[in-house]
Amino acid sequence: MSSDDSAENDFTLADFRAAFLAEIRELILAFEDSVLRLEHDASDVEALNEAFRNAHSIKGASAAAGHSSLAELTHQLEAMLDGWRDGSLEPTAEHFAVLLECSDLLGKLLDDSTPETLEAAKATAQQLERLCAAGETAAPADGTSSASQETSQAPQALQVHVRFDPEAFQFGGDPLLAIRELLEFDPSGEIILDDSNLPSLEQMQPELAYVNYKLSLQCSPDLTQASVQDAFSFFGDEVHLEFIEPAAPTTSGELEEPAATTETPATQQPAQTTAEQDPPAAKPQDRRAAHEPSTVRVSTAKLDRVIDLVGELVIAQSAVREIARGYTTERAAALNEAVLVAEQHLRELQERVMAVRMVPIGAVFSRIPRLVRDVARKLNKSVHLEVEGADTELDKTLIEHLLDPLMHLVRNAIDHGIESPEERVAAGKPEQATLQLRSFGRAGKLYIEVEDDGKGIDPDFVRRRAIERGVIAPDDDQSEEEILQVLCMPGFSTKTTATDISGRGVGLDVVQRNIEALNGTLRIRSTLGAGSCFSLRLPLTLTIVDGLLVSERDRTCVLPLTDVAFSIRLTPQKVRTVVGNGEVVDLDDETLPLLDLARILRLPDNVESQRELAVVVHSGHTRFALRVEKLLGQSQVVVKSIETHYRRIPGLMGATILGDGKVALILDGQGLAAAAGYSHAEVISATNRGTAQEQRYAQ
Amino acid sequence: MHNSAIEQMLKGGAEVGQCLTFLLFKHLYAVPILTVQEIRRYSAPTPLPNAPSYVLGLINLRGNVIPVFDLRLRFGQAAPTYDRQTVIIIAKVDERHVGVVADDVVKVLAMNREAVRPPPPLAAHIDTSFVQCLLRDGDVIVTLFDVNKLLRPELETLDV
Repeated sequence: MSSDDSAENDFTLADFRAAFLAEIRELILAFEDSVLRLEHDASDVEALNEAFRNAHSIKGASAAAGHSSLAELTHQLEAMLDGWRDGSLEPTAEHFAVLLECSDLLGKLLDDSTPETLEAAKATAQQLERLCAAGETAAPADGTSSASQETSQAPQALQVHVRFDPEAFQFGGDPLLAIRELLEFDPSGEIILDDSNLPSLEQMQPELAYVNYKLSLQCSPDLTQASVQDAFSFFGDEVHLEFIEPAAPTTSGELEEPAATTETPATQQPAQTTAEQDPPAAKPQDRRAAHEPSTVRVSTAKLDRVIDLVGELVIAQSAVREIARGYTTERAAALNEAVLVAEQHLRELQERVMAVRMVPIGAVFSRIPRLVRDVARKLNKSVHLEVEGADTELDKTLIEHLLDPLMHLVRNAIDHGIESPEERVAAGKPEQATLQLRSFGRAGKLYIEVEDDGKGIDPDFVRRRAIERGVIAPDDDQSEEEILQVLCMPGFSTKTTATDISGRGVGLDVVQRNIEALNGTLRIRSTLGAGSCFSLRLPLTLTIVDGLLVSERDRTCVLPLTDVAFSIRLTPQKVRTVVGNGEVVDLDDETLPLLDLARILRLPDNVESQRELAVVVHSGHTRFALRVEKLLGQSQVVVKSIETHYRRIPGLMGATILGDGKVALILDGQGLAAAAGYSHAEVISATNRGTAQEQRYAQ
Repeated sequence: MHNSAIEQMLKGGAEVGQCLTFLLFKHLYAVPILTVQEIRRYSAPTPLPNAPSYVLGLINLRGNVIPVFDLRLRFGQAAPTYDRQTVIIIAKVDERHVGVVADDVVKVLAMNREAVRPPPPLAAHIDTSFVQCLLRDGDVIVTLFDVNKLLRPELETLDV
């Protein structure tokens, strides 16, 4: 953006293009989705129509954004889908494979049109054409192959005659934007108005284009014929660029691959053809890459609510001001009330603004069907995917970090969990496996689960392997569920041979680490012979939490309310010292490890004062009691990342700023246990030991 | 970037930049003025669990949570004092802001060719890898820190 903000008009051509590219990307995903549905059920007319519509929109949008290579490929796609629709072509497995390959290629072409990708696109387009021709009589007519010989190195001075069709303004293009863009490369460039087409005033139509330009520009590495074409590409067919070459053109080796432009749609003008050869790593694309991650698409309804609330808030605020201006003690009640109203609005506004960041998880889920198809095919397995809860919303930042872990889990499930069709039949299961992908919210947390009906995980095998690798001691007595968590430890893989789908010994531990970085947890459930379920548990948002404020000698800390089970009063009878594991606390039906906030904060040991309060923290699969000095109450706090200016600190979810301006730490239940020197296994075994002890006492 | 500035300074060129000099337990140090965001009166940070002693904790800088380091502790002074003179210099390291405690700020010093001495190969009391150069200010020698080398290692997330 900074490179082109010289003009007062800061919505530039590059912005238009970026918006277009984002749209094309979405269309490609939608296209893929409809093709996959078609593959699943070839009689699905709705899916076919959708695929056709999407292909058509991709073609339109990419032509408008100057991506003719894309437009061309999509054109062939359309031809095939058209054949299916009118029955002249019968869908085959090969057709689907090529269509999906196209969908990949379209994405690649958008990212960077390297010669290889262009080559691949060309090959695929030809393959499509061949497949169509095999079913039909003739392929679309070839354009007279490449009329342009304009790949010559541009001479020193570049003279262009820019002529617009009368309809050039219909798609909202502004010639001035393009010209401004060019002038950035050569500020001394000359623009001569060509008003030869200007009709008399009576005949003039306000919405038509009459004015043409002659540009005279100085060539530079950034300013070539290609960049001129690029600048005007927004106008598509409505602009005609005529390059006036004063001297004999010199051919340059760098701009080889001239004839790569074949089969242009017949309507296109010769001068247009070279515009399709987007120079590799073209500037606008770079800019797009820099922009893309930071945008959120927000429904207008959400935005309207926010705007309404801001209005309400302004009114409420002025009421407060009015009362404050003529303030008398009698009006204290009125003032209080007005402040309360303002506060209410403010809180709601805060929620609404947060909601703007919330996007449906479908954005991630939509990538999974294709993955399932490809992996299953590669491994010769038959898998049916069921998706549930794609409309569950969560924070945009979380969404961005979820794709990789999720893809990993899905690959794992198909590779390791699901058996081959033969094995399944032998085990009395349907030949086609079912993979469930679901998402739901519960108790302020978001759950995402990947569940297969495969062979499940053998806890005994995992235990043996874990002992072999020294991960657990032979005499540890974890439950089956606890044993499975061992799978998430670094370097632990149950598959004896690594495959290129998943494996190599890295895997679940990386997933676990990624999820933990988002303050989430990964939990594994499995029934041997019946399937496994990998369950991710995440906070809905990273920016605001409801917290319980606790303190220790004037140090206030926040515990996320979702991690707090209840608070207890510690009596000497309840607390017991267990050798090697510090203290445990006996509750009615459980025994928990007892951590101490003072020790976590590295405060010097105090003479055992009247510190008899503890909070039972329950976070994911960790459960323990935390001794604190005071409970200060609940409050909503804004999470500030410590990482932004410092680094991630184990045991802390972040920090927040209290009403008095001081920084308070937000504790993270699970991390806390770890930071306090309790590994997960220790916390559990302490619990078990405690329970065992309790039973002994009871006897 | 700063190093090339120093080289340039050593080669020729008159006044190239300025630095802020400050006191750390009776010794004078400096950082390039362009790395200084602001100077604040000392206020006690919120301590962090499991942090080395010289990481004093976090302070609130207009809604941002930033770490504060006490170099006196890092350089081995046992019990530094925090009084009304004590300041926190807010420095920029890449995109981040960090606070550095100093006993006092002294002045802004112009760095010119005559003043610059290359860094000593070894100094007895401190590690010199983060010393950019020495500066002579009248009779006094000031140690100019390379802020990046000094603080960046502190900001990298440890892989646990």
